Amino acid sequence: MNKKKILVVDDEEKFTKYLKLNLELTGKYEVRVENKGSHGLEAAKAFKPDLILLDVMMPDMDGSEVASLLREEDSCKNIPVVFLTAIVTEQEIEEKGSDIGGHPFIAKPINLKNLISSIEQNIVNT
Amino acid sequence: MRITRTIVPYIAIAVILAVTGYIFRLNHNAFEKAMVDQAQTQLMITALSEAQSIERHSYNTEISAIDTSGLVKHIDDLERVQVLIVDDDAKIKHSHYMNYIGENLLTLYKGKISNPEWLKLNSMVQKIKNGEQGTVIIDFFSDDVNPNIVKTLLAFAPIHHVNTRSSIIVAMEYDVVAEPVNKNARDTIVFGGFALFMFFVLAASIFHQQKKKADELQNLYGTLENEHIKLKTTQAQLIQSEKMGIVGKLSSGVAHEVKNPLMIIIQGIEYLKEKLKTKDEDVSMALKDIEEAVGRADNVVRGLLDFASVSKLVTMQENINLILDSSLLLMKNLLDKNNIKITRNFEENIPYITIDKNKIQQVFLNIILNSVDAMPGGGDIIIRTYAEQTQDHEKRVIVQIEDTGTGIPEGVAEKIFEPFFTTKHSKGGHGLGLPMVKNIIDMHGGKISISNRTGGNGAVVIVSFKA
Repeated sequence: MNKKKILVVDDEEKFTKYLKLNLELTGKYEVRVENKGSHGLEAAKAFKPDLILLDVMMPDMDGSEVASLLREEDSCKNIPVVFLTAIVTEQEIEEKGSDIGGHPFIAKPINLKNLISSIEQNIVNT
Repeated sequence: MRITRTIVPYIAIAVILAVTGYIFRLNHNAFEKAMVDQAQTQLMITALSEAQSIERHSYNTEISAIDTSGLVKHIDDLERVQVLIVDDDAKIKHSHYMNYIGENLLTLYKGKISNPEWLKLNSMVQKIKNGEQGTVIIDFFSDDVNPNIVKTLLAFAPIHHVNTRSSIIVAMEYDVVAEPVNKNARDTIVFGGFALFMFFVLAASIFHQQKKKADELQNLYGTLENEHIKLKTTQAQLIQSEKMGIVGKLSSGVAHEVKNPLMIIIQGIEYLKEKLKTKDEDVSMALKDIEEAVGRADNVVRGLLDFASVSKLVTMQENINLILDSSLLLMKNLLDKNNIKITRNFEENIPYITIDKNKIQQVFLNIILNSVDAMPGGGDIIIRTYAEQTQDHEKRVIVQIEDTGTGIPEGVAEKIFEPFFTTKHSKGGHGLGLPMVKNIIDMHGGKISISNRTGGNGAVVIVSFKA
């Protein structure tokens, strides 16, 4: 069976490590992890994932910036993005809403079941 | 008090007028008497000097031949003076105007003047007969067809004439003396009255101005006091919103920092659960406990974020009844499941209030959730809305939510709005619900109170907004 390729871009190393392990335990996904926004951009071009899980708040380049750069790249602009965000408040959505630009987002801490159903939904939709 | 203060100046002015009038009258009477006394003295002097003059110049002349017309010429300053010369029997020998000559003074006036005046005349005639001098005031009647009383000043003095003893009588109308005094008095009254009137007008005007100023000051004071209260309220709200701003920033930071380790723990547990697939119940239980604990920690972080996110209101004119209904609709399943009966007692046509619909809905959800928690075996929630006029004529919209639950434990009421104070730790309460409710109400300038129901179990929450 053809495994779907997932790219995880999040600055929290230990979180990405366990997330990779958990996703791969399902046997359905091949997961690549990047801990810097800029590296995520490079990895997207080389790895050509079926879906990107993108952290909103990162020190070097935040998620919305990575997303907008991906949109400018022909090879990447059709890859679905699901944002991971630690803070989901009305204010936060109001401020970030336009940058997140229609992409779905999942609130941290992430419930694995919800995450997987969100991944499946977004991959199938494309 | 106010009426008394208004009357006092008028009473004062009336008293001043009365006293002034009385003093003026006393003064006037004294002045008139002094003038009459002076006139009488002058008349007496005239009589005496004329008597001497006659004695000197007409010593050898018959009394009837004395030319009295020349006499008055000496008396320039005395107008309307009559001069009579009578013999010792009071028979008129000479008259200024040459009338009544040969008539007896007493016969002339007998029955024509009042009794007391007649007695005075008689007394004068007696003195003349005795060769005495003196003065007297007698009320005669005028000669007119309709006689008036003519008050007359008289001075008499004996003339020691060669042949017979006779007397000179100098007479003058009382009014001639009194008129200038009375005119003066009238002038004084007119002038004084005018001056008093002006004083009164001025006093009234000053009093009015003062009262107006006092009223203005009173109003100004009231306005200032109101402004002061408003300022204090605004200041308190500013401090509160500043505090909330800091709490907001702090919470965001904490949430981010706490959520990341929580994520790692959660992913770690997921991994262990999947990897171990253990049958060892102790290990499974440990994993389950860790998972639950992390869930609780996450709840606290979420509550903190909700609490801190109340920094901005999006307000519109809203009908509070509709907001309550939509809140109840959201909770319908929960209420049914917990066997809770809702009684709606909403005032129709309740005034619209300016509020943030979503935030106020959050408030009602929280309050109703608390009621549900307080009634584990089911019960009643009675919601009443009504408009009310306060003592300072402010219209307010009131929402009253009652339940039949366990009520507020003793000693809890004063801490109920403190962040992180909770009686529901075991049920996952984080003590941020009511503080958030209070915060939202405060931001709306509203009021909230929670107390136990009087005469029954349960609590009652009263929320009020300015209409």
